Formats: sequence, structure tokens, C-alpha cells
Amino acid sequence: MAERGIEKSGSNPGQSGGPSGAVLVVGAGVTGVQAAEDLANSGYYVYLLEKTAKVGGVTAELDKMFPTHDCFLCMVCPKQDTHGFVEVTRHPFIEFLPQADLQKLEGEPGNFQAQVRVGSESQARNLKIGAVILAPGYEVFDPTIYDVYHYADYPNVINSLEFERLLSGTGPTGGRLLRPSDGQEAKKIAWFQCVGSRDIHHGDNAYCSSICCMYALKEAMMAKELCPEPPETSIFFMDIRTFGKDFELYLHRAENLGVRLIRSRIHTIDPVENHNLSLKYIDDTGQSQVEVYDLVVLSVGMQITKATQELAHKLGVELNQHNFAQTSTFQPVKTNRPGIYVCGAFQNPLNIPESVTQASAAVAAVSADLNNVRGTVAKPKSYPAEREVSGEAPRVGVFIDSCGIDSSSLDLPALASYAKTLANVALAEIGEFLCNPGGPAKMKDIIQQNNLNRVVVAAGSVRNYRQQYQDIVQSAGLNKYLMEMTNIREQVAWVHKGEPAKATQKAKGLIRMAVADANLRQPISEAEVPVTRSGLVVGGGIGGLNAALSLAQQGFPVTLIEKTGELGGIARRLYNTIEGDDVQAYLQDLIAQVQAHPQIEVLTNSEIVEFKGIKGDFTSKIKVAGDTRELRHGVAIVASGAEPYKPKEYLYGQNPAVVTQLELGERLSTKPEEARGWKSIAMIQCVGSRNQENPNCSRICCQAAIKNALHIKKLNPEANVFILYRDMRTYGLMEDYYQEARKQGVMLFRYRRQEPPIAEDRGGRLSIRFKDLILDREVTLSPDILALSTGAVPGDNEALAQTMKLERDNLGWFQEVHLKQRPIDFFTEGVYMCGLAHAPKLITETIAQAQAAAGRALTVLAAERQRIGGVVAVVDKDICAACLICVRACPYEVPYICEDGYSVIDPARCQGCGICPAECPAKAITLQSYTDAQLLAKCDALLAEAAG
Amino acid sequence: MRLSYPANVLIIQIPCSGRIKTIHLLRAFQYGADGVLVAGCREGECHFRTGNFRARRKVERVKEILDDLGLGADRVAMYNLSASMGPRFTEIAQEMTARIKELGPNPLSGSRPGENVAAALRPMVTQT
Repeated sequence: MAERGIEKSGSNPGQSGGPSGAVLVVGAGVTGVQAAEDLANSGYYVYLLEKTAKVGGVTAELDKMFPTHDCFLCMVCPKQDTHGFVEVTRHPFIEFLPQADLQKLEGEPGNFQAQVRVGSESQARNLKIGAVILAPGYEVFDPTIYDVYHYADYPNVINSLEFERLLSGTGPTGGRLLRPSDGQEAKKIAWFQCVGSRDIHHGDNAYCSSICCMYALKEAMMAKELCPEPPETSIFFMDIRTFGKDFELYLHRAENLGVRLIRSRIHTIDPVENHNLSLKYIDDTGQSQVEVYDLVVLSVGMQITKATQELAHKLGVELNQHNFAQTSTFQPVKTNRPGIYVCGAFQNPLNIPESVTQASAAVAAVSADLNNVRGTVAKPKSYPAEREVSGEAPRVGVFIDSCGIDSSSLDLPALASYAKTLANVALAEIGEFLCNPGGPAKMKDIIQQNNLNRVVVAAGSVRNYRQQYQDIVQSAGLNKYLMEMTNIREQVAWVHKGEPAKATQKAKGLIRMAVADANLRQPISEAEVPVTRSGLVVGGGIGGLNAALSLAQQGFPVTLIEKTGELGGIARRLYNTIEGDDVQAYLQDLIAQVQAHPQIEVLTNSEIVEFKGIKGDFTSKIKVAGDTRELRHGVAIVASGAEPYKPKEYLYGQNPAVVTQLELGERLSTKPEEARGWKSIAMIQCVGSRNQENPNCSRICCQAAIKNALHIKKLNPEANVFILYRDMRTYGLMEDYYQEARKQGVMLFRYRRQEPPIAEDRGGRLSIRFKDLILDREVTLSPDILALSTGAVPGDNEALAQTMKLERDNLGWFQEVHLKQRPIDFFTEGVYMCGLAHAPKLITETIAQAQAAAGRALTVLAAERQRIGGVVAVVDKDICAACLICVRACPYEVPYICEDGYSVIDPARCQGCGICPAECPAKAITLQSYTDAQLLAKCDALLAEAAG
Repeated sequence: MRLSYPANVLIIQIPCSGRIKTIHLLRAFQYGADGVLVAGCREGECHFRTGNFRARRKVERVKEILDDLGLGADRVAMYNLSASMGPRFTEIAQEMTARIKELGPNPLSGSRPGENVAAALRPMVTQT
């Protein structure tokens, strides 16, 4: 990653002739923020344009995320370069333009002129940029037009976003579920799914919004967890679509918590006494039901705003029939206009992981275009050489930042004069050292003129501002770890209002603590090492090929290893996508591009047998045709794929008429004449998925069934196609094909998990029995072909996982750092994943993820050198007894006992948590910046009575 | 949010509750704290995976020691909360302060004032 403390060159970035290394990102929601950060950390200058005044988009209004239940505010990491929302507003390479809109875009890729109006500025700004990434996001469907739901006229009918605000501790009710009508706690809550989705009436949207099933489950669970007396919760749905990685487990969790799932669409809501709502519906068995609820939540879908549609029109970006940006299966983030890329909900109704994945993919695409001008606008800032302070007695300067501190809440002059009485304090200054334009320079001068060698800053949030103060300290020629910060704003001035005396007393204690700490601080050297600017890609399927190509297009040499003798992976057996794209033609072209690329070396029949090193400098041993060769590389992308599930169910392998959807697809494409002879085709969904052995949904099988059903209907319109399913999960825009299949007469019958269909071989003739839930009677089919809708299984990835020390989940899929926020990254920094190795997914999703892996890899490879160390654990080898406690305690498996018999902690891999120093019985391990001596000195100083 | 909590709650920031050693907590009492609370991530959501479980074990150990010393196990507590739970933090701060006031000053504190609660926290998002 690029180092912090970097500055743009010149005052007007990119105004010289030639292509520009600046990029315009439109939209500062979770997607735009990811794109901006990845770009900025890779040496591009970013203008982040946002129509509102804030970052975060819709996610900033949400409470907790599914399925992890992390709070959205937790998007922070002290060391890892994850996308904290606030981060973007202070990144030196990101210029945040709030309340702004893009008025005009002229020029061509590499040389665009954008006219942008920002806030109330009277003059539009002209920005010279090389590319545009559109991440304008979505709005929720407005249910007012739905007269049956009475959203506008019944106070206790609210939408799901409003419900999120009720759940939120920072919301209007302080996190209590109070009904709008009377402020009473809701005791019985209903969610209505597919409001504004999967509907072709009412002028709403035919597609599936993909996220509503999951968020309704989340909201129902949160409601139960939040209230001392858990409310009754019911979700009324058509199909429950928990198709993402581990989402099915989440559904089970909700069921176990007592969330009721009722398969029905409510047809009437009547107000009854006390603003309660009487719901009428037909249940699963065809019976009419009436239930009274006291709160109804409409699970509203996503749609593209009018403003975004107008923007697309202005830019000449084509939209599809649902107003999403038109992209192609094989180039998911590329719009029709060269140089303009799209990601997130504007491309498709997407959940957060797919959105941030596309953001990184768009970054890789931009970087391929602007490869030659990377780092021309955003240049690393240089600092003066660090002054040697060892041997000097501490001279501490205390800087009290008054920003945001009201004089009535805290007596700052008293703090300053008190600070001067503390040990080794040379001076104490009050000022605004960050937000005042001259502030940083003033602070720097004071440090230099007074020959300070330790600095204490008493200001606002340490987490938010530490880096910026460190930057000032560094520009003054001091090691940045010679500064200690304490928070007298959020921890004192803002929370002890009306008690200025007590607040001032407490702030004195905090300053005393910080000074005690500063006195003990020592410079920490961060080693600077060169980055090996090349990549290793493991796996030669569509994911690996795209990852390799994308890295190579960004200018980095790549070695692609494939364990079989042929490139293409599972895609060699796929012929068409559901949209009708020719997979084989694409694959041949992709392989040709990869093989012809001068930066890519392809090694087939090869495998990785050893892997060590750190981000930016890995060494691997690759076994190729009996030979072993060594390879150094800065990043690794794992695209090792998965295997199709081989069914044990439904006479597969016993009766020749039973095939998998994959096999059916092959036959339809290679021997279409066969299908013309079939009269009846049956398909069974969820074979080998959503069961005891493999609890997850395999995501791809519903669309595979619909795709093949439509293909059969095209070849043989007379044929009867029966799909036996549990929930049809044609999420997103694939809903169109589900509707098309219904239109074409494909017959769908639902079965219950506990009553699966039964396949029998009756003298060679296949017979399928199942219970039709609408007729409530048994039906028998005698199809010519039975296609089993099977998903993928992780396959044999154990050796690879062990060699590369990669984490897998309990089902064997490779485990990402965070399901939502970092869906591509392995815990080992510098190693990324894509494709089926991560979880089952469609080709277009694999391509986006592969490009995204290359985009994430760029944040490592863009820098020529990297710094390692800092707040990490260090071992005193003379004390270490090699007892293995640190080896076992480290949550990241970093420490190991070296040949000479002591523990070694790699500073590049250490996450700086401080667990091992806390566990080490010999006190051989120290966490730099948080040593025992420092912590105890702080504790002592904090609790000492103030003299002044 | 700027929710207020008692000014006797003093915070020492650590990178993860897992950084805590029993000696740190005991020294806080020796230095005059009347109570110590350790705030870590919610269980199962530790930012560093397992740190909060380790911290809990240490807090349990310190409780035993405090009981043995006659100071009372209730002077130390572990709470699990996430960075977005500002209101919960203020509740905890109030709860803890009330409990400590009931227990009275730390007999070891000598001349030091009697109502300090030291808190060890991993960096928390502060509402601005």
C-alpha cells in the first residue's frame, strides 16, 4: 500500500498535458469509498464526488450488517488498510467533494475534462481526469404508490430503512422499537417481502433486489435481541433468497430464534383499534388467515434514482431496461463509454461484498488504462531525515488543540499551565494545529525552534487524528513514535458538560498520563524494503486467467500456474450464460490473450510446493514437470476453483436418464438434436445443497435450471419442462429469465425439504413422485431426462491451503478476512482470492472478483518500496525460553520458533494486537508503543492526584 | 452523541483487550483506582479474533486475587461492547461508578481521592 504522509504534486493536480493520473469517483457510499481508497493507495489522485454532504451512502443509515451483525460504525482497523469511512476525507490523495454534481464530461479516456459544481460555490470547477468510476448507488423503492399497503396513511406501516433507524442506538428512539403511532414498544411485527421488487404491476420493479430477504431476517433477529421481551416476528415472503456465502446458515439462525417465515403475499391490511393492523392472507395450505400486528415493515427494494439516470444520459452511459448501467457478462464493470466504469448497485442490485468487489475491479480496469501515469499526480511526500534523539534528556512539548472545545466546558489555559509543571515538559501551547491552515506549520516550527524531542498532543479523537499529528511530527524531523496523544475532547469536553471543574481535573490527569508515556517513548524504526513487483496466480480457470491478465495489463509480470495440463477450468464445460453469451468463444479469446501477453508466464501441470515471505516479497517453490523452481513475487492470487458436486441422490450414475445441469447444458449445446426428441424433462433443485451435509445454498443452480429450461424450450417448444424447487433464487436481474420461463410454460412445483421428490427406476423407465403442494396430492412424472441442479464443492484444496497457510471455513471454502468489507483478502496480507475457490458464483461474478483481486494486489505492487514494523511485537531472544505460548496465543499464527531456539515474530505480519506480550511468561515480548513500562507509567500518572 | 458519563471514569487506551495482563489491573488498584473495567469487543466479534476471551480470563483471575486480598471481586469487571454502542458505554460507566461508590474507596488508595475508575479500552469510535 502507498504510505501515508504523501502529497499531491503542485497545487493543481494533473493540469499539464498528456494523460492524467487523477480519477473521478462519483458517489461516496461503501462502493465509492472502496474505489477511492484502492485508487489512492495505488498512486492515483482521486476526486470523490458525493451528492449529499456525507460519506457512507445508505450504509451509514444502517445499524448492523448481515450476517455478521457487526455495526457499520466498526469499519475501523488500527493497522490494516481497510476502508474506514472517515479515512477518505483525510487521505492525502483523495479530495472529497460533498454536495457536488457532475455537470459535464468532455474528452476521451486518459484526457477527460469534468465540470463539477461543488456545494454553494458559484463557479463550477474544471477537473482534468483520466477516468471515471460511477458508484452512485441506489434509493429504496417508495411504497406510497402501493395503495394496498397504506404506507402513507397508516402510521404503523413503515419501510425497512425506517426500521433500521429504530434499531440504531444513534437513531430517533435511541435503539428502542417504538411504534410511530403511540411510542409504545412493538410486540408483534410483520415484514412484507418484495415490496417494489419482483412485481410488474404498480409501476414498480420486475427484478429481485437481492438484499431484502437477508435484511428482513437481520431486522427480525435484531428486534428479538434488542428487546427485553422479544417481539413476535413474521416475515411474509414468496421465495426466501439467502443465496450468498453462509447466508443459509443465517436463515437457520433466524428460524432457531423463532422468526416465523410465512410463504404468502398479504392481500389486505385493515386498520383496527389502537392503530394496529389486521393482515389477511392465504397461507401455504390455501387457507385464509387473519392476524393482527402492531407494526408492519415493508421490505423495500433498490432502484436507480432519476438523478442517476439523468447523469447516465448526460455522460452517454447506456442503461438497461431496469435503468441499471448496461454492462456485459464478461466485462462487468465496463460501460459502453470508454474510460467510464461502473460498480455497486448502479450495475446490478448488489449486496455489499459484491459491491466492494466491483469497486476494486473498476480500480483494476482504470489502472490498466492509466498504467503509465500512475503516481504522476499523487507523489509520495518526502520528510526530512529523522533527528537522532538517543542520549538526549526528554524535552516534551504539550500541544493542546482547542478545535471543537468550548471554553465553558474545559479550562484550557489552566491545562496549559498545569502541563508545564510536569516532568521534562519544556512548553505547552494552545492552538488549532490541524484545522487552521497555518496550524501544522506553526506546530512544526515550535517543535524545531525549541528543540523538542518528545511531543504530547491533547486534542480530539486519537483514532481520527493521530496520523495527521504524526505527519507534523515527522515533518519536524522527529520519529513519529515520539508523539503521544490524548483525547480531551470526546472523552472530556463533550461528555462532562456542566461540570467544567471536574472535566478540567480529568483532562489534567489525561495530560499527566500522556506526558508520562511520552517520557518513555523511544523512536521506532520502520524498515524500508523494496517491493517485488510481480504476481503469482494459482489456477488457470476463468478467475485465474482474468486475474493474471488484469495484473499484466497494469504493467506487472505474472506467473500463472495451473495444476492440470489445460487452461480454462470448469468453464470448458460451459457453453452459454443465461443471458445467451458464448462462453467457449470468450474462453478461447481469453486464453489467447493470456498466452500472448509478454508479461505473463503460464506454467501448466505445475503446483506450488512451498510458500513463504511477506506481503511485497514472497518466495515460492513451483513444481513443474518434475523440476522445482523458485519464484519471488509481491502478491499471490488464489483462483484454484472448486469441483462440481457429484450427486449421490436420485439414481445419478444408476439410470442413464439422470444427469446434472452441467451435463445437460453440455448436451443441449453439443447435441441439440437430442432435445428435439424429448417430451418431458424434470429438474430437481437443491441437490447436494441446503442439506445437512452442505447447509449452504449453491447460488448458481436456480439460474442453471432456468437457463437450461429456456434452452430446451427454444430447441423444442412442445417439450414439457418441470422444475421441482424449494425456493427459486434467480436473484437480481436474472428474475427476468425466471419470468420468461414461466411465460414459456415451464412448470414449477415447490417441494418441502422434509418431503423431497422420489426417483424410481421402473424397468429402465424413470419415474419421479412428488407432492404438489397446491393440489395437495401426489403427482408422478415419467421424464425422458432428469436434471439434478447441483452446485459446487470445495474439492481438494487442502494441500494448497497448507502450503500457503490459507484459512478455510468449516465447509472447506477459502476464508476471507471479512465477509462484507474485505471479501477478496486472505488474512495473510498480499494474498487474495477469486472465483469458486471462495464460494460458488456465476462467471460474471468470478470475473469481477478476479479483476478485484488484481485491484487489491495493485495497492501492494504500486509502491516501489514498503515500510514494515511500527506498532508490532518484538522478541528479546536472550530471554525467550521457546515455550511456544506465543505461538499458540497469536490469533494470526505469526510467531514461530527458529532454528536457534527462540521465537521470531515477523514485523510485516504482526497485527499489533498485543496478545503475545500479555501472555509471554518470560516477558520476552514487547509491543512497541504499548510496552509494560509505558502502560504502568500511564496508569500510575493517571491515578496520581493532580497538584494543580 | 456527546452522551455524558461520570467524570471519574478515566480511560487508558490499549490496542486490544487481549493486551491486558493481570499485573496491569492489579497495579491500577495499587496506584489508587477504586475500580477497573476492561471493555473489549463483543464476544465472537473480537477485532483481533480472540483477545477478548483472553482478557476475560485475566479479569476472572484478578477477581479471585481481589477477593483473597479482601478488596472485593466487584471492583473489577469486564464488559463487551462494540464501538457503536455509545449509550451502552455511558450506562456501563454509570453502573460501574454506582457499584464502586457503594463499595467505598479503595483501602489501598491512601491519600488519593476515592472515586476513580480506570478503564482499559480498545480504541473506540467516538461520536463527533
